[in-house]
Amino acid sequence: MKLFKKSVLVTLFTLITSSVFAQQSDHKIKTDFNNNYSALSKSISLSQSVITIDSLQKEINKLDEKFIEHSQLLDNALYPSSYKFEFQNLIAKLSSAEQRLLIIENQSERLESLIQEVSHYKSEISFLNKRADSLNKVMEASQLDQLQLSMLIKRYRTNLELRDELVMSIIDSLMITYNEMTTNEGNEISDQVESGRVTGTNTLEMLMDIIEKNIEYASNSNQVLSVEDYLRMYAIQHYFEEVWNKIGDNLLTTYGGSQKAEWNSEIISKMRDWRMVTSQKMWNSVDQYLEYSSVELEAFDNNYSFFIALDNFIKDAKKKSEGQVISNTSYEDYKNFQGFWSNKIKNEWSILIQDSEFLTVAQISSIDDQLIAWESVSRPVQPLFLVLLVLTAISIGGYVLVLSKAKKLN
Amino acid sequence: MKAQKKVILSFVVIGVLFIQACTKSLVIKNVDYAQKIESVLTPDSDGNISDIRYGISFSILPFQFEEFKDSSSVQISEIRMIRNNLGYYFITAESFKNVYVMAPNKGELKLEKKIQVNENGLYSPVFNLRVSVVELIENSKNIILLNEKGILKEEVTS
Repeated sequence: MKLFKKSVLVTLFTLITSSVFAQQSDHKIKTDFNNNYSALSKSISLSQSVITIDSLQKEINKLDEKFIEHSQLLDNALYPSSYKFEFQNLIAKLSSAEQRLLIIENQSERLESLIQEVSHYKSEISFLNKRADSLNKVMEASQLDQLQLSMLIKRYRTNLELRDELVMSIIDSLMITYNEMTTNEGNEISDQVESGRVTGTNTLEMLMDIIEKNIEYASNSNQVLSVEDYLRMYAIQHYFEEVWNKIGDNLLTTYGGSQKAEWNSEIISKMRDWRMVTSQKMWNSVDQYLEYSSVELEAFDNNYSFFIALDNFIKDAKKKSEGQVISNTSYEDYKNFQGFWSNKIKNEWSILIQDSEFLTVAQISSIDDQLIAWESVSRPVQPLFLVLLVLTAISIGGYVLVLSKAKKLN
Repeated sequence: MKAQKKVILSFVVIGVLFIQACTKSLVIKNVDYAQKIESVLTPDSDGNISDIRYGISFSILPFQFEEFKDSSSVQISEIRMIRNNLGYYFITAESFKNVYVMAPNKGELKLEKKIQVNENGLYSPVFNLRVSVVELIENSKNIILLNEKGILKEEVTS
């Protein structure tokens, strides 16, 4: 009994002395921990640069140092979670924030270099636009002799080609930068753009300029441009639209500010005008070229009708060739068409055709098959072969005659 | 005849043992009901509190009436509650003069002991659970060790 009383007294003494040094509420420890933890967790979520991550790591260590002695108490308080698990969570969150910030900082650097690149392109394009305008004016005035005019036309076309190459480079740069960007990254960069940390040309404005200038060039283009020039314009428009469909949302998020919807509808509407002008000009130029090359096709104004016109042309020509065994005319027609097909479609224009989907691979191979069949029926019979055939017939006739005469004599 | 009596007697003994075995309820000893950290609960407009973690809810108005003789409206902003290893609930609040030791019963909490801790009313009270006692700290200074029977020790620190 005495021993029991002693032990109770010792326990009470220990409890009281320990309490003297820490008259703290366990509940308060839990609340303090939760508040500190939440504040730190929020700071991690809101961190905006990789530099802050290091200081947050120190904060996590401090929090651990402050509460480690209460870890057992907090294990109870945080159940079903635990003190250790909560810290692991915090460290994982910090690591993920660091990754995110590294990506964003990398994106920002890329974006800044892109903006510089785009500014450079913009001034280059503006220079080429001016030069093309003045060349066009001089050509229209026609105050030059033939040689000077042809040199001028060459310069004009080279100029347009350079300009189109620049436009393609801009589209490619934009594609690389914005295609893999997530919406969150877009928003982060948008904040940086709005806060002025990333400065430069508004990419949407620049794209609108490009579209408008291209519509202007396509609409005002004169006879000096070739099918190839129009095909290039058509291919650029096609590629531009394709890229916009992929990265348009990210660009709107980054640069659209409060007018995302307005920018979107304006760019889409302008893109439609651009498509219509380039498409019309390109198909007209192909039609004129074929007419000039004596290939008379049915009317066409788009990819499908062009393919059908080609297909019908070959079928009709093949049918015509089947009735002409000796005549050379249909074979000449074949060679003429074959020249156009292999020199232009499959050689000179092939890259542009591929880029613009002027004709699909399936359509091209279908025409190839038709051409092989056309060649076999249109190829005329060789004169030597005819002579041999006549000689063989005469020989057989003579032999039969000799045989019948010999029979009669017998 | 003797043999017959022996058989009957043994049947009676076996029957008594069997009935005893059937009526004996299952009892588990040394159950620890201790709640390691106090619950700080805010009553709703009807004076009900609910502790989701420990699965208990009741009205605090009877305590309020006991302390302030008024239960017309809720005057308690927070109630502090902890359970010791024997399963008794210790309940108090700011301005309470007492700690209420409540024993859980079928659908009720029954007052086991009303322990007066401050005749002027508590200021900023908190509960901690320490080994086998409940520690009440008032105003971060006064430490009162309690069990279900009353105050074990009181200490004022500077």
